[in-house]
Amino acid sequence: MPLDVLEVHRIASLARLRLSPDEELRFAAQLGRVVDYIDQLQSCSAVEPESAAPLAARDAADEVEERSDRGQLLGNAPLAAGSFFVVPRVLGGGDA
Amino acid sequence: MPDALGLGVEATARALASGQLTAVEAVSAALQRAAAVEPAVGAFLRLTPESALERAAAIDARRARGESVGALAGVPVGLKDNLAVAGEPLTCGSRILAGYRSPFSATAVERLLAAGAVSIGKTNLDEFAMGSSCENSSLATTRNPWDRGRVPGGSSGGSAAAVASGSVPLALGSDTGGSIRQPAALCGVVGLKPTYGRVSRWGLVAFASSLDQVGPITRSVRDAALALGVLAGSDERDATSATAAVPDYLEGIEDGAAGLRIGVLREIDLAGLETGVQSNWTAALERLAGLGAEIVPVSVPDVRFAIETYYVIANCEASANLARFDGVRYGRRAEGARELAELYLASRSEGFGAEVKRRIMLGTFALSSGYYEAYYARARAVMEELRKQLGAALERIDAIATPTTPTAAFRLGEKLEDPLAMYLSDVFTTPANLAGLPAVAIPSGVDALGLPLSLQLIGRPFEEGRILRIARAFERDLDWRAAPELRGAAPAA
Repeated sequence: MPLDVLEVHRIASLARLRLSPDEELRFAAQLGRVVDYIDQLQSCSAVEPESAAPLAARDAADEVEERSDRGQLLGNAPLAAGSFFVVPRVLGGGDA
Repeated sequence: MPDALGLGVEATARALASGQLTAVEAVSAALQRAAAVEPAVGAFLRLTPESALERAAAIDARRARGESVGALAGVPVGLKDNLAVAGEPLTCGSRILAGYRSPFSATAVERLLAAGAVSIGKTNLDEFAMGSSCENSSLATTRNPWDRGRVPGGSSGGSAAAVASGSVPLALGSDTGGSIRQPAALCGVVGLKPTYGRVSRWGLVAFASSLDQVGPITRSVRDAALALGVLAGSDERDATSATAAVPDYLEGIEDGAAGLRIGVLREIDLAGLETGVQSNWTAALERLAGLGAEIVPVSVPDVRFAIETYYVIANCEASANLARFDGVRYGRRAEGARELAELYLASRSEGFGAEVKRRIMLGTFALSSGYYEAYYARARAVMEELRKQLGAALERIDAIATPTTPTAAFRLGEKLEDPLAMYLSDVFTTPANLAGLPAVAIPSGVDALGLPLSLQLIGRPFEEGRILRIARAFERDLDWRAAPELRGAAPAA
């Protein structure tokens, strides 16, 4: 069953994506089919795992470590000034 | 000088070590081959002949001075373009990383280069490794060397095609739900997904962090074993990398399959396989039995839910991992945004391709309020159960065998507008990722159209050696020498 176009719009907005009306229609049909398929999970009898952390991750030592050069990292920024990333105004209304 | 093109990793390394071949000769031969076949195949996004030849010359000079040069010194390799190389572009097959240069190298790349391997370039992939055909690359089309009207598989389609078309004897891939094994299968080469944690993920651009694993694609099982020995090992920069000792994967690899117990899943629906895959699968089991292996039926009931579970877990993790691409710190930035929220929206919408958007949205949906319990929490429970069931089955057997894919290579465009059909290509490969187990895909013959087919062997955690041993016995017995012809594209080898 296709997803509701309004639902697709809501998800896209949560995911910080803007879809064209054509994309919304196409994704509603395609994602609807996938969601119908993954709904089969509801028929599996597996119980909830006790822990949400499946991985045996190791803790790193709590030490300051110089891994990358700041200038090099800023060099990848589309727009930087001095040691800062430049972004447009965060709270609405102004110019970048 | 031996024919550098026909040699695998081990033979190239041996010829280089004995002085029969120089690194410059080996790398030149690879570059010439790539120049000849790339117009037809398109495995590489970028070839780097100057730096490759420079590095090869440096290795020859070091060897001439009697310095130690590493186990893979002078062996030409390809690297999937979601693995970072310091100072070089890193695209992930996406427009959103336009202009990006990595400030550091992936640990897997560092280890390969430290062993003396020479990268001749970066290979194509489905955007951010999301896909099973390589068609989701926003930058290039890769064609199957066996039939250029067909897909090479994905997401490591460029790496598999580069090895299959003879440009390199070894290419690195990454495997989140089958992205090494499925393209290896469709291109008639060997693909190994190591145990989760066996190879460091540092410098591999994250898709689904709890499933991603780096591994080799080669033309032979021994070459895969050799490469794994170089790649494997703990890394403090990846908190999930394993500290288990790295064995010599070539030791015992010729010991054969006699006496080993190989499980066959009762849950495999033979009717869901292409006819050619069905008969090839039956023949593969007969071959394993002929080698003295005991074929035993095993039951892993929740393997039926592997695809559903995988596409929930992987996409939830992807939606979080890909939140970092926002047009601020790196990559593509949309023009003209007057507010930060608008900058995010525009940069991401312009930069990501359709499949990446679909996956981010599926993940966002499955994690969103009201759906989290039904999808993500549910999938986590099934994943845990599947892990237990596979673990229990593998206590009684040495490996589980399956076909690697339900079909041979499909036509370009055939499944592009039907994401669900594309996802079903991963039915046999996703369980190993969900359970963190090692798995190898090896050629098992061709179908009626002459397209390669493949057998998958799944093993116990950190027992790559055992599945490689079975794979080697199978490969030796099959004695499969078929290779794509690439009519008109290849020089006389």
